[in-house]
Order: sequence, then C-alpha cells, then structure tokens
Amino acid sequence: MSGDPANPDERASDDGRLVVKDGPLFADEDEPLPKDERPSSPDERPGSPDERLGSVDEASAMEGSAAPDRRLPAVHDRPWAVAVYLAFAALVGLAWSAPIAAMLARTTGEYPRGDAELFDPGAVMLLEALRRMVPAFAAIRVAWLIVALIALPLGLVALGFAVAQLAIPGKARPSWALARSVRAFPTLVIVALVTVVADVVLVLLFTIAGGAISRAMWPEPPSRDIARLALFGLIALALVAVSGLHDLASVAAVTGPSRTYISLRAALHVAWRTPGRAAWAYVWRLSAGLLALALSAAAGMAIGVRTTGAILASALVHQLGLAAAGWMRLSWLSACGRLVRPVVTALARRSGRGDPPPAAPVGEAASVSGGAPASAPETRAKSETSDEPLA
Amino acid sequence: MLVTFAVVVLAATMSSLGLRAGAQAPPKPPTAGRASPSASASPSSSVAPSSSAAPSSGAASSASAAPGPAPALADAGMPERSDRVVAYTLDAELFPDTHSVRGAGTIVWRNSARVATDRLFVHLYLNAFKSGRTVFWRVPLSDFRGDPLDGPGRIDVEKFYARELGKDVWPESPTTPGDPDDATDIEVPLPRPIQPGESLTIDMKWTSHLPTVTIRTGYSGSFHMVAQWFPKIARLEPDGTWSHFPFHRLSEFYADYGTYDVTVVAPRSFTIGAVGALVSEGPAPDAPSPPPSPEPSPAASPPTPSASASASASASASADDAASSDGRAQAVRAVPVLRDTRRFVAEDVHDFAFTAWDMFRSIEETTADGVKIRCLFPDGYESVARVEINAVKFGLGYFGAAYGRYPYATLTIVHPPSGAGEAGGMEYPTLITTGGSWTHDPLEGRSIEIVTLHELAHQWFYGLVGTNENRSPFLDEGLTSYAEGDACEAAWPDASAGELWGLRVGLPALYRVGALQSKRNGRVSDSASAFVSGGDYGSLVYSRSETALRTLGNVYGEDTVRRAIGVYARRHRFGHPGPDELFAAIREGVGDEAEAALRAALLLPSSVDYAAEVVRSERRSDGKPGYVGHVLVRRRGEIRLPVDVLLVTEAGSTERVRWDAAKEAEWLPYSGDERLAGAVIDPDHRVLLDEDLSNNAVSVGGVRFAWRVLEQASFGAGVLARGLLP
Repeated sequence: MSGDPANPDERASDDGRLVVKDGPLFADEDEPLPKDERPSSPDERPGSPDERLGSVDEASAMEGSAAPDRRLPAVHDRPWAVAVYLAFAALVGLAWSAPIAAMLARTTGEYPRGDAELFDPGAVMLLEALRRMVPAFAAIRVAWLIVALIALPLGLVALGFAVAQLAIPGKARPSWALARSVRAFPTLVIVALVTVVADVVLVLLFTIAGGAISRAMWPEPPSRDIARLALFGLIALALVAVSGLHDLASVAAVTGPSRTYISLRAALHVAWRTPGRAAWAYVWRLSAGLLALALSAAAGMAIGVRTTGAILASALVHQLGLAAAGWMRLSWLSACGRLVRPVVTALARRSGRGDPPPAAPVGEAASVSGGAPASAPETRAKSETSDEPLA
Repeated sequence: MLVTFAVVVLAATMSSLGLRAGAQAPPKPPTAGRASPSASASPSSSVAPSSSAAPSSGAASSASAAPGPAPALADAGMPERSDRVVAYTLDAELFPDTHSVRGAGTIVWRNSARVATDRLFVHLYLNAFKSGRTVFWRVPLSDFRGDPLDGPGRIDVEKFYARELGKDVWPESPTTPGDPDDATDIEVPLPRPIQPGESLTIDMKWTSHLPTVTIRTGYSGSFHMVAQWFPKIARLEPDGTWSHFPFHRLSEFYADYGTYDVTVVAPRSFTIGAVGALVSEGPAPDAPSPPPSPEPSPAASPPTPSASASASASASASADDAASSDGRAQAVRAVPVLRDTRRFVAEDVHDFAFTAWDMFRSIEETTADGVKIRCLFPDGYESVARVEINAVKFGLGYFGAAYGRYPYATLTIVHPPSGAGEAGGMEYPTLITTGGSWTHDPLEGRSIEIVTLHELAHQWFYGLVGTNENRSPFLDEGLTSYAEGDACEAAWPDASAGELWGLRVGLPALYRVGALQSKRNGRVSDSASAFVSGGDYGSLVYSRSETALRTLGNVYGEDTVRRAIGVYARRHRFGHPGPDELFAAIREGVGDEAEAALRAALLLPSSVDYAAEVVRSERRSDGKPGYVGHVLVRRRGEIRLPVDVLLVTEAGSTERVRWDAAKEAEWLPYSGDERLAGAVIDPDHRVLLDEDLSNNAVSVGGVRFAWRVLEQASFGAGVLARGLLP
C-alpha cells in the first residue's frame, strides 16, 4: 500500500511515514530527512529541527493542499486525555443533577419504595415532587449557575489538556500537557468568548431576517411552521459550524503559538481552504456521538429504573453513551490537530512572532502508548485516511 | 422538560375555559319556519334514578360505538324535549368586509314563572367590546384569556317592537342598570305586566359589529366566529326573579331553552358552521349595502396592547391582509357578489352561534347512532381534524352512556385558523370549537383530544343541563372537567395527559396540581364575578372541582360516583339545577359521608392533609413470638375521607388497614411476625385533594436518597454538559 488512493499526492515512504509530493510536512525533529524524501520546494531549508519545523511548505499549507499531520496519536493512545475529559464531564453532570435528586428525595424519601414512586404511571408523585420543588427552584438555579461558572473555565483547561495530548505529536506527559493547556488558557477564553458572540449574532441574524422572510412568504401554518422548522435547522447548522470553528481555533491555540489572531485565522483558513475535509471530519464524529447518546437514551428508557439492577444497568448504558459521545469529541479534537497544524506552522512563520508548533518534549516523540513506533504507523496512516479522504 | 410538558398540557386544558356545549335539531323537519314556544314539555325532575329501567326506545346508547362505561342508567323517563320558553326566528346577513351582521327577526317569549313580570332583561354581550369602560374590561384580570382588541365590537338595536303591547319597548338609553358605562345587561320596562303563561312576540332589528377575535367571538381576517351576536332575553326564574348580569370576563352565559330558526346570508364562498341542523340553502337575493363600520371615539376605545402597539398591530394586520397569499385578505376586501342563504334550525337549545370562513375545509362522519359529525378546519389540519372526530365519536358514546344519550342529530367541530385561537376552546349547543397545532406536537401531550372531549362534555354540562354559568360556574366547568378527565382516563389509563420518554402522565395528576394552586383563595362555588383572578377561577372551578369529584370516585368507587352524576344529568336534562341538586344526587348515590366531603371541598375554603408521623414496633412483652407496634396518623383540615394505611415490615411484607379518619389523629395498632419498617397513608394516592403527599409516609430507616433521579438526571445533565461545555 502506498498512501491514500483518494489522494494521488500522498504516498507512504519506505519507513512508513506519510509524505506528499512536496515532501514531508513534519518530520521527526531530531532526525534528518532521507535524501530521496527531501522537499523539493524552494522554500525548504533542511537543517536544525526548529528550522525543519518551520520549513513546512507554506504555500501548500495555506492553500489547503497540504496533507494532514499523520503522526498524531489516536484517541486510544491517550488514556489520560480520555480519562480527564470524561471524568470532568461526568463530574459536571453529577454536580448539576445532584440538587434535583436531593430536592426530589425530600418528597419520596420516607416512602418504602423511595423515588420509585416518582416513576409510577399517572405521575401523581412525580408532579407532587415537582410542585414541591418549585419554591426551591431559585436556589437550584443558583447552584447550577455556580457549577457552570466553575465548570466553564475548568472545561477550557480540560479541553486544552486533551488537545495537548491528542493534537501534538509525540508522547506528552500529563504534566506537560497541563502546562501547555494553562499556557493557552487566555487564548482559549478569548476564542470561547468570540464563539459565544458569533453564536448570538448568528442566532439574532437568522431569527430576525429569517423570521421576517418566513412571515412574509409563509404567514399561515402549516407552511409557516415548516419554514420555522427549516429556520431552526439552519440556525442549528450555523451553531454547529461555529462550534467546529471554535474547536479548530482552540486546537490551534494549544498547538500553536497561543495567539488569538493566529488561532482564529488558522481555524477560518482550514474551513475556507478545506471545507469538505473539515466538515466531514466533524460531522461524522458529531453524528456518531449523537447517535450514541440517542441509543443509550432509548436503551435506558427500555431498561427502566424499577429495580436496583435496572438502575445500575441503566446507569451503565447511559454512561457508555456519554463516554462514546465524549470519545467522538476527542477524536474530532485529534482530527483538528491534523487539519490545523500545517496552517498554524505557516502562519506562525509568516507572522514572525509566534513560536513554531511544538512537539512533545525531546525524547518522548519516538512512540506512543502501546509501543507502536510513531514513525512507522502505516496501519494508522491507513485507518486515518480511511475516514478522512484528502482533498 | 417534563415540567414544560406538564405545563403545556395543563395550559392547553385550561385554554378551554369558557367552552359551551350545544344541541341541535333532530332529523325531523323543523316547524314551519316559525317555531313557537310550547308549554308542554315534561317536568325536568321526572326522571327516576332507577337503574332497572329499560333502555329508552329509539335511543340506543351510543356507547356501543365506542368503549365507555357500562351504561349504568337507562335513559327511559328522561325528558325528550325542553320546556321551550323562547323561540328565536332570526335572519342574519354577514358582511365579511366590515365584519358586521345585520339582523332581523322575532322572539316569542313566554313567562314561565309563577308570577307576572313587568320588565324584560335583554343581554347584549357584544357591547362588552364597545369601550374600555365596560364591566368586561374594567375587571383587572391579567391571567385569563381575552386578547386585547384591535377592533371594537357592539350591538346597535334599531327595533324592539312588542306586538302584544303595540309599541317599541326598547329604552332610549339602554345601559346596564346602575352602570352607564356598560350596555350588556339591558332592562326593558313593559307598559303592562306579562302574566304567567302569557307570551310576548317581539320584532327586532339590529346590527352586530364583531370585534377582532377575543374570548370566544370576533373575526380574524375573513374568519368569523359569530357568537353572542343577537339580543338575548335573560332567564326568568320560577319565583319571578330575573337571572341577569353584565358580561363579566370570567362569566359565561345562562338562558332559557327554546327553538332557534336562523337563516344566515353570507358570500357563497364562505363555509358556514352553526348550531343546529342545516335544513335548506340556496342563492340569496341581491346583496344590500353593508352597514358602516363601528367608529368609536378614541376615549371610549376598548383596551389595546398599547397605543403605539395598537397602531402597529393594525397596520401590520392590514399589511398582512394585503400580502396574504392564502386568499383570506382578498376575500375580505372584495365582497363576492354571489351570496347564499343557509337556514339552520335547533330545538331544545339555549344559544345560537355560527362561524363563517372562506378557507374552511371539512370532514364529515356519521356515528352508528346517526349523529352527523362535521369538522371544519384550516388547510393542513387534516390529521388534527381526524383526531378531533375520533375523540368526538368516542366521547359521544362514553358521555352518552354515563350521562344520557346525546339527543341531537349533528355535532359541528370548528378548529379556528391560526391567529384566531381565542375563538377556540368554546362550546355552543351542537357546536364546539377546539384548537391546537397542526403538528399535534408530542410535547403538547393529548391537549387536542382533551380540549375536544372537554368541549364535547359541555354538551351535557351546560347544554343539556342548563346551569347558571354566572352564578355557579363549577356546575358546568367543574363537572365538565370531571367528565373529560374520566373519559380520557378510560381511553388512556394513567397516560391521559400524555406520555413522554416513557413517563405516563395522567390528567388527574395535572388537575391535582392545578387544584392546589389556589387552595384557600376562595370557594369553588363562588360566582364567576367573585373570583379576583383568572388563576383562582381556573384552579378552583376547573381543577378543584375535578379533583374533588375524582377523589370521591377513587375513595367510593368510580362507577358509583359516575352513576350518581349520571342520575343528576338525566334528572335535570333540559333543566336549570343548582348546587343543591348535585349534592342531593351524590348523597343518594354515594352516601352522606361523600356528600359532606364534597360540600366541604366545594362550598368552603377547605383542605385535607394526611400525615404519618411515628412508626415503632417491639417484641411482644408476653413472651410470644412476633412484634407489636403503632403508627401515628393524622388528618388535618376540614375534609374527611377514609383511607388505607399500608404497614411495611423489615422483611418487606405489607399489610393494609382501613382508617376512617374520623379523628384528627390516631395511633393505629400493629401486630405481626416482623418489625415494622414504615407506613404509608393512602398508598394508592386516592385522595387527590391531599395537600401534601410527602408526609404520607414514615420510615424507620429515615430518608432515602433519590438514586433513580440521580441516574436519570445525571444523564440529562451529561448530555447538556456535552452541548454547553467547551
């Protein structure tokens, strides 16, 4: 096998590294390139590792014709990233749901069947519990807000940690990844704020303009409601797109020089130059994650919570669904690294201000967990190209 | 989301505030154009509550057409017709461009009281929308239906000529007595008293200007719901007092039974749905010029959202009309030359309303009992119309078996178009209006079926049992809510409100929440105008009545209570009973204890709360094996109902004991092989009036954590976290 048949510009070198016709985008920093694989680009400047890191073909990177960085680890190569990310999400979920469980327990706690009363047909006790919970709802909202205020910044750190583990070549220690995440934190915050602003603007724009159009063209149901549904779908698509851009920019911030401008520009550049590749990489993972959630919800519903065993089984199914969705998101972050690193490299060099994209600390780049050599993962190259046909 | 779901369903149910049921002429041909009052009706109290009577001839229970309660009572002896006190023969010409109706006709009214009367009271309900100073708008209600108006409405009476008296008796300044700002309740002095049994024939001419649609009547585009549109004589009670009242926003109506022979002239393109049966139709003579549009003075304008908003809304409405691609606006602007007359006749009813729209689609079906169901709906609502027709078919059978057969030949369902929702959720004799989204949104639960069945149930409790809706609104809305909930529970046990993500929510649970909302804010039996808020009115009149009756059913037997109400409905068919007649039927059918509980629940600001406080057990002191113990139970409040108490042992075995709740607190003894672990009062939640279910249980082990909730909620929160967190 020699590279991805979908991409004639791509082939695998003898030692398994992926190259493109212009030469390898990222070679191991401490190892000179084989002579027959040296880039033919006039801009190439073989030499020191730093120089070679910066010797990415800027033109191909900026045009979007550069192949993705194939040396990045897969999600299962990074158990720390998976563990931290999933544990964090689970903790937030528990922190959000615990006040509700505690409040509802006040209604059913003395009943021999406990909160099983809440799930009886007819919902007399469920509505009673909700009715009694109403006065405490203000306090619960405050608790939710506090959890959110804590979770949002911590979530950015967790995101940076996962990205540092997944989107930077080499084997990174957790402490190094955490440091990298903390370093990128200010940029991640700004990127998140920009995303929120973009979301609000888009929603307002679509709602006002789309609403006016739909009201004028389809004033009566059912066409009015169908138009509204379509508008809602458009808004959802726009938000999904912004969310994807947010992730690209965040990955650029962690893997690159942690400059907001470069991060945002890199994200927009990837989306502009390689929209199909980026969209596909994002959408299929997002869809798979949503499917996992839907399946686990349906399975949980079928299992029910009548008995202790059922509660445990339902919890297992639900948490598996959440884990699968989380896994898909981590996989997307990894894919973001492959998409965005060449661009970040080029932008950093052009700006002359940023650091080149980092690799893991020297000496740790030789392998990923599981013992597979980082420089010869032909099987990984195959598997990764299979779900991301190159442009 | 479940809260949203529950609120939406409850709101949809509450949106049916103000519905009326209707009745319509049987298939026999109407009297020769001009019906006259008859004094030959059988007494309304002649129906015996016997369950052994044979089924009424020619009136097989329609329960055969649908699942329903076993016919508990025979309809034999039930009045076949009303004491027709009035006969309205009216001609109504609808002018869609000015949203007005020019009316002419005759009322034949008979003094059915035991004494003479020297006056009439005539209701002109459309005058409620004449200015912002009417009783209707003066009442500060923010939590009840009644959209602000973009266009006012009124009735101008031009002629009110009493033939037998030889003069036009209409007063020069017709206003509500003692209230110059209101003109919905007009006193008409007569030059001489009208003796008992004597009839008065009144020739009338008037013009009705419809408001923009609000609270049951009005127009939206070319859609017209023409209700409370004609001068309507109030009811003279047997003792000679007039039951008259200005149109209050929380009040509905009250009138004598009679016949209505109404000819509607409208553009041919308009579909007409009306009370009664369509007996003839054909081209109308040349159209006259429409009456001028109402132009009230700015100072007298009825409430609008705000001055600027009103102007904006009006402009917007005009723009919408002009831009509308569905033909509604065009129909409004360009009055079709071709007009048709359609004549409707209804007998043994006490109101008449009709709807007209040039965009209606319709579906018709006939039940096995020969009732012709016609559903009028906007384009795109076919599936909803089917749902409504099926609900009506089921309801006709169910309610017919429970409360006496439906006596009319037709039933018209009107699903108002978008923008005219205020016309929905209302009942008239043989005509009901519904509402809801064309999507039949699962998040709305069964709101469409519920509203449809609610309005249909009004055919009995309002239509066939003509209670005073102003004086005792719970007699129609409360009993209707009970009947609706009963039918829905029969159709969808434990999931009558809806089903969402595996959770089955019943209407009784929803009504219970509503019933507890206002608790002691007033009496269920208050008159409509005595309620200070729409929330109290809805909570007490609808929800608490339903919950009280359902509680009786749960405690004493659903069939027993349904049968008692069936006796009441049959005994007072075409009658005008009050609360005492209902309580008497409950006492006869269910017992003194049940009647006392119902009286406490409906006539007083009352409550009930059961509480289990202490559970303890110890080894027998006589050396024999086993344990003895006690449970301390309490009943707080004025309502007393017997309950079961569930005793749970450490081994998990259970034992039920009955507590009559005669005392306010009592130690219930226990003796058994195992140590007591807990106790639950009313474990099946039969007493839905119980104000606090959390204290019904007591456990030795203390409070249990809600693990099931934590599991389910943490999944939901986890999904949320996926979406919200970076």
